[in-house]
Amino acid sequence: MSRETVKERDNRAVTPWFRVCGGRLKEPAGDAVRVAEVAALHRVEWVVLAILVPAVLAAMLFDGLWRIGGPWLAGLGLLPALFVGLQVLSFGFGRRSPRGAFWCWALVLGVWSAWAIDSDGWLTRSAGWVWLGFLGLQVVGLLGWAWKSAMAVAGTAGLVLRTALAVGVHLVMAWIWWRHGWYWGLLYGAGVAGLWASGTFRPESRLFGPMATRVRGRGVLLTIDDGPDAEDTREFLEQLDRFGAKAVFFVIGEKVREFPELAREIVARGHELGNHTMTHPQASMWCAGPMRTRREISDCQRAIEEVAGSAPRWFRAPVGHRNFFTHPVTSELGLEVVAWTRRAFDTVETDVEKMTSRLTDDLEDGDVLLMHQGTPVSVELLAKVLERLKASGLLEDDQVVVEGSAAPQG
Amino acid sequence: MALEEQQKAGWKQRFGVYGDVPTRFLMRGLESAPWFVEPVLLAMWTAIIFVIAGEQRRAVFGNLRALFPGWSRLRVSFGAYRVFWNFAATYVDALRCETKTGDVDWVIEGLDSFEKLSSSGKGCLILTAHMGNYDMAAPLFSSRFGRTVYAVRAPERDPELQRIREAELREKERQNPQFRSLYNMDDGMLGVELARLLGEGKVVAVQGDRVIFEVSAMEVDVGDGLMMKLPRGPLVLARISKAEVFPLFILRDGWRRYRVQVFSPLELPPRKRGPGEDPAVKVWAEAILKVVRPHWPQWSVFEPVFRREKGGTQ
Repeated sequence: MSRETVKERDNRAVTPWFRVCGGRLKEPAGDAVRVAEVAALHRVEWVVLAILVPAVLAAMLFDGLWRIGGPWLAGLGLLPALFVGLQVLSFGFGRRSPRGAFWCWALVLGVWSAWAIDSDGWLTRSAGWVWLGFLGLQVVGLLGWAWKSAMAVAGTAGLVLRTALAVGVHLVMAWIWWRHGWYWGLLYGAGVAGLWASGTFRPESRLFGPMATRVRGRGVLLTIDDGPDAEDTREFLEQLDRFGAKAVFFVIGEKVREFPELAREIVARGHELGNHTMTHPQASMWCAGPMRTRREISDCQRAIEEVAGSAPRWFRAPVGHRNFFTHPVTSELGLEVVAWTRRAFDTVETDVEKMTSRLTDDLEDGDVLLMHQGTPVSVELLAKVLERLKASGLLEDDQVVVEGSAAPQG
Repeated sequence: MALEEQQKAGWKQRFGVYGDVPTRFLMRGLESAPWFVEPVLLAMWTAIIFVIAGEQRRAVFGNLRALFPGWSRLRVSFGAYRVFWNFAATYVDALRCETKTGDVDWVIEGLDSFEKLSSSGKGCLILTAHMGNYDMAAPLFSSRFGRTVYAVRAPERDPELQRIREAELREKERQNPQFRSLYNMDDGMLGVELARLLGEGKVVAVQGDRVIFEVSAMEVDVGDGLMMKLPRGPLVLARISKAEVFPLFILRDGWRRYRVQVFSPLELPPRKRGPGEDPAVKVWAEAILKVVRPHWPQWSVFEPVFRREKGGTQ
């Protein structure tokens, strides 16, 4: 297996708002792609700034010209003044990085806007408010960026930081409850709980750290959870061999210890093992504390390494429920947290045809499919899925070449 | 007095459309101008150049009118402005890469042909048009190609600007040793040099769509009375060297985004002896026209190339 997940790459935005809320980097379509890795290449940000900055500057110049020479001067002189103004400011700020340049312009227009919102003219006032609103978004972006940075702290430091955050959030709720009444405290608590639930129970959520959901290259990635299984694993391996397919088996540490020969056979047949916790605590992983989370993940990692000879690179939480403390542990162990784009719900359903459709209809290259071992229909489901994938040519693994440029950031 | 006039003319030339001063100003400007003021400044500067560069504007008008006879005068004017705008945008992108104040995304289309070209041990000719920017693509060619590409380019009209370009190219060649430039100078030795390179199994890229300076031209009817003027040299080179000819075009897909389109090698018909034009001329012209027609705003040729004979239709 040589598949790589689609990593969360820098979206090449400059302003804090677009860096955090500007979405992921979209690669152009083509036979081969080389994506530049310098800043200031976020398309929506570029469009927004290219409209907003000249518009606010135009309002500023229009206002100034009106004050100097009245409406005629303002009307006729606006375009030449804007042309000159844009160049004077550009040259005036000198050679700066994109970030430095943005903040220089933001400051100048911000100072003017702070003055303009008390002005008489509605145009001037509106332009001032628009720019101040945009700067307000940057503050929100900065907060988001601070959160993202905090969520990137790995190991014990990350666990301590997250514990402190969890305690801090509760203390704030207690303070609000005490100062402003129970309803405000409850409202705040419900909001925080909603965010926490979203980060924990939504398998693709990136609120608490990076989450891979797709892989690079052509074809889909088959992932099989909950093995090794005394009854199913050998049959799974036969089926996969028959179709020349490779898969990632997210295995449970306890079962690896119980059936070490099966774990070794998975690897020997060219498949890959992933970490799926030591005991598969599907009902309680979401609320596990930092110590238990660390134990579940690192014990499984050790079990796989000792039995199969190499450490996994991918981790998947039971039922996809990570908890607030998962990411510092996985980062410390060099594990990438992986979810899926398609799931069969094969642990709760038995209609193979329906599940096959759910997994294989309208698939795209890079989709990650989730199936399980040890269910009454698991072998039958795998056979059907492999047939469909073979027919649609999605078992191939031709890597599309994607390169990053090495040009330095401005 | 004569010297004074020469100096005055020199200054005029330096500040003109082909002069070095606008380029120096632009390079300095791009080092300080943030990316988000680019579209507005580009639109304004393009409008100014569009007004100043009368000869070039008329050539683009003429080409568009011949290509699209059904277009109104207003549409042709707007189309010509778009050609200027696209040229300016590509030029700015190239300078951004040059001054390390920006970079562009690349997509390759026709990877099979691209790889055939890069893996062929024989000399190959890349037929291209004046679209996109080869200099900007140099790092891409260096990293993906594995073969040295010799790109033929016309020298700048202004000696100062030529000096700037040569300095840039030296730096580019130092960074990307697999990308070399050859100038089409007046000494007439370029053809011999290119034939030698092709004979040695090298890759040579030539623009097959610009008749500039004193190069020998050929004119071909590409259908419905549309006459296309092309330089004779590249086709003669292909005939003499018997090298495979790969049409390869660089297209601007959008802001800081480019596409390299590579097609299968041209199948040139056998040469006919006697008077009359080589039957391959039409194949040659159609290979260029196939890309130029749908991507006309990106076709940065500011010389008359097309004319439509009387009685010709759309």
